Amino acid sequence: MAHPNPELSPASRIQPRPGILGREIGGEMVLLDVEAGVYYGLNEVGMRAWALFSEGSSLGAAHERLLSEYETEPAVLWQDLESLVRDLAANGLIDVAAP
Amino acid sequence: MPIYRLFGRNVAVEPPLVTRVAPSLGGSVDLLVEPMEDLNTSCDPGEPFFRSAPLAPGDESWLTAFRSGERYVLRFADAADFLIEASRVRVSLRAEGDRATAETYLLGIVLALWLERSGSVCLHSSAVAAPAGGIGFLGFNRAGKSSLAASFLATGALLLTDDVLALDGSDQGTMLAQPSYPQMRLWPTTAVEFVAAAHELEPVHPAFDKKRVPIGGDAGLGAFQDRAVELRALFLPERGGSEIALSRLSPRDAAIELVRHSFLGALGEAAIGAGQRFERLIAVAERVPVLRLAYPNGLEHLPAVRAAILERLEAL
Repeated sequence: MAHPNPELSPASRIQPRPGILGREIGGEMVLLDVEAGVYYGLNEVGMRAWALFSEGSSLGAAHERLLSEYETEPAVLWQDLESLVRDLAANGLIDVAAP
Repeated sequence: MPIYRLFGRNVAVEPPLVTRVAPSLGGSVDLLVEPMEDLNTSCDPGEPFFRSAPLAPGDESWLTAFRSGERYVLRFADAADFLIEASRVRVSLRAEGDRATAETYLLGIVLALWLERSGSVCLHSSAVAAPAGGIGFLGFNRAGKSSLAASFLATGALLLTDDVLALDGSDQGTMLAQPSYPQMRLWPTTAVEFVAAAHELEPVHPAFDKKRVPIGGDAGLGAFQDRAVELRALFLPERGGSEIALSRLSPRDAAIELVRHSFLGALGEAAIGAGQRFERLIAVAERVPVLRLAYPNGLEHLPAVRAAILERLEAL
């Protein structure tokens, strides 16, 4: 069972849960949790973060990478990433592994 | 045995349907619907793969679904068992069931499942055929979809469907909206606005207030579209605002709304496979624009809503 409100740090590993399907559409993404029947939409940046998490990037590494790809303030991006990760966890779409 | 044209398929049904359905124009029969004495003598349904919530605590599930190889069984606690095969559906009325209720399930969930197993997408939607093409109104009960469709019929559009919108992909990359049958179900307060002899309309079911409105003919409303048309757009009605506002959803949000309005919902995911249905609904979202439609409450606003929809269609 995914923790709905995990502790987060730059070293946190974000792992998509098994059985989650992702499909790009119109430059964004829809996630489907087949078992729970949960559908979830990601915008362009969220989709990129999802890809980085799927490749094994830590939260901190994903933050650095996204900073290099998008024009945004580090603090704002960190806040957005934290918020996204908490929401994904609350919807049971990811597991967060503490370092 | 009468052969009907339903959702673009030739369907032979014995005994004949009570609901008014267009006759087949000819061709081979795609589906045979016939009675069976008892489900248990026809197959062993095995363990259920889907149970709906019971209507009241402690009751049997309203709908239980079983799968046996390529065959599905749908058991409606208040009506009938349906054994669904590739080209045949067999029906066994339950002891406490009645034919009218069983026919409602046949024309809704049962045919939707049969269509989806062969690749169609079924949405909870009314739809009309206008000169600009097919227009669908997604929605659950009381969302306003039938009133919007009736408003279009009153000004010359043709009814495609009032409840189940079946979509098939075309070779041209568009989605084809298939006609269901020439009947609408309207609340009495809506029916009096659109049908001259509304007081003579029969209820959909003795226990329901909604009226059965025939499409076409002297006593009914408008006319029926008997062939598939390209679906130009889907609208999500939202009543209650003070102004008419149309906003197009991103393909991502459109896909999520299509999932929410898929006719079979969780039953479809369990029966067809969530991944496969996901891909089909994404394909619809990629091909058909979906727009949120906010408009004020009240039938008097429908002419302006209709005009706004037609104007927006021209710009799509």
